Amino acid sequence: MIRLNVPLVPDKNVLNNLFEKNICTVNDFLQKKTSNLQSVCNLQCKEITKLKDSMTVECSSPLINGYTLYLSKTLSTFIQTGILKLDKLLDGGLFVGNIYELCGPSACGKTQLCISILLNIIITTKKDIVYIDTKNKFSVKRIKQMLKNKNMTNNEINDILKKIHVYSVIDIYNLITCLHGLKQKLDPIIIIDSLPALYLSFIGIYKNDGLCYINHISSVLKYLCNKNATILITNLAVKNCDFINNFKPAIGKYWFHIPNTRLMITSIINQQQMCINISKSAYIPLDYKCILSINDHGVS
Amino acid sequence: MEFKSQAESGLQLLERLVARPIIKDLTPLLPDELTSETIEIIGNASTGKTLFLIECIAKCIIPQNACGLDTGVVYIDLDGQFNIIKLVKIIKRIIKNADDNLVKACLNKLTLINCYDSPTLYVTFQRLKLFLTEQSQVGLVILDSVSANYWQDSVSGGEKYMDTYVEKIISSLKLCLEDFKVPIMFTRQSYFQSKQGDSLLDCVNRRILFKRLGSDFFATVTRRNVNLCYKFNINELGISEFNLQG
Repeated sequence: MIRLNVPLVPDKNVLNNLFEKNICTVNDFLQKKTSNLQSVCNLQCKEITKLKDSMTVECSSPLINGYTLYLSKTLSTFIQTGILKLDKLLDGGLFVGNIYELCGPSACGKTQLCISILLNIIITTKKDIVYIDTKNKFSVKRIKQMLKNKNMTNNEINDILKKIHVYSVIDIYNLITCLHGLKQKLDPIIIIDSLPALYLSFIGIYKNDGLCYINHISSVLKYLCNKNATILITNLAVKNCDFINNFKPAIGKYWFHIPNTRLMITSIINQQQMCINISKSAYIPLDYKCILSINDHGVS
Repeated sequence: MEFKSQAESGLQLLERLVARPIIKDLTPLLPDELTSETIEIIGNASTGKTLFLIECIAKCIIPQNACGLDTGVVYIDLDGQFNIIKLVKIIKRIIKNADDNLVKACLNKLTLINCYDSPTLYVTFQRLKLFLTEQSQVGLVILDSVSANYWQDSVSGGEKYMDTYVEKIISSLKLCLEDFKVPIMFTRQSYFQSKQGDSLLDCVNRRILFKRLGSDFFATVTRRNVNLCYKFNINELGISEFNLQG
């Protein structure tokens, strides 16, 4: 709720009068009739109307002209993941301002894929990357191993590690605080590994508190995307309890319409390979797929 | 003989005198005039809802000599799925060899609002009232999608019953726009309804239900208990070929 405060209502006495009548938020104020407010505030009709108008303009979302938006969007393009087959599948790479979701069963290589993409982006673009780790399993050792296999010197490895900003979050409240803190960053690239780890603890609790927080996180993510963030999120796939035993994402129906593109990952048994399937996208035909292999160098 | 005098507010008088464009023949699904109607668009993810809206916007903002309606559009984006590049692609499909100036003229008629929470949304509705008073060319308001903030709101003491939640938002939007007689289009997800059934909500005049079966897309238009089902295709260029199913 947007609470009434001093800059919105210039006079402190008027504000106290409003609070006494239980008019505490901007919406309360706007919904009351001007004639009623006149007596509460001891102001003239003209002043109330003026106050209402300035409040409406101040507290509403900004109106954006379509052409202005178009000009700002044509400059931004995509970030290549550096994995050739994946870039081809994604029609060039990760589009700026989009949310990508990697969804797959445990141990199918989601984290490996994230780390590979992260290193490739740093090596080619020298950009800083935010890595939000919810399971405390971010492994510097594995990264060093991957970079050593690429024949990098210790100095180069250190420079790359400096570009990775790891945030360890232990619960959903931490994640929300962390995401709000990223609002100031310019064109951030954010990797969240993984979202369901924080959400699963809410399952089974009455009142859907978990969904409320997921909803809030989605709002912040959308805000960040509007500010040209690129976001990669991993989601766990769990087995359905029906006869087909198909995998389904751990965060249910509500979350499905949040990411712009969902990549379903399935592991190919005993072959150190994974199959990536497009299961939701606005611009790539559904069910396109590619096969990647995992080795000491990362995913390729 | 009895004479009745009717009172009219200043805003209503202004609206009567200012010629606001009329939305007619927007898409094959909505062939008639849409003055002050509320149209609900319902469907699962990736059934073509947002794409359909983008097609509607394109039709509205294109000038009349190129088969458009030459009308301004306000698009309230709660889901963040709107893609302006796609819109430009569709404009360029409808107007062959459109130059930058024409695209600029079209896009200038579109106003976008990104909104991230419900309290701001309600204030934004009030803002629209001011905006539409100034802009007489705006003829359509779109809200995508109405369910975006439901979970946040329901935990912080908001409406829990999904249908009532939708009605609450739409009727407060209608209240702000009633003097302008502009049609409203809004989307919601299929799962987001309390009663599964054919009856429309009280505040809705028409409903378009989107469905996907394999690679075929279907849209069912419901109005006054009459259902019309259309089949259509989606390709890189957008939506094509609405065919009425028997």
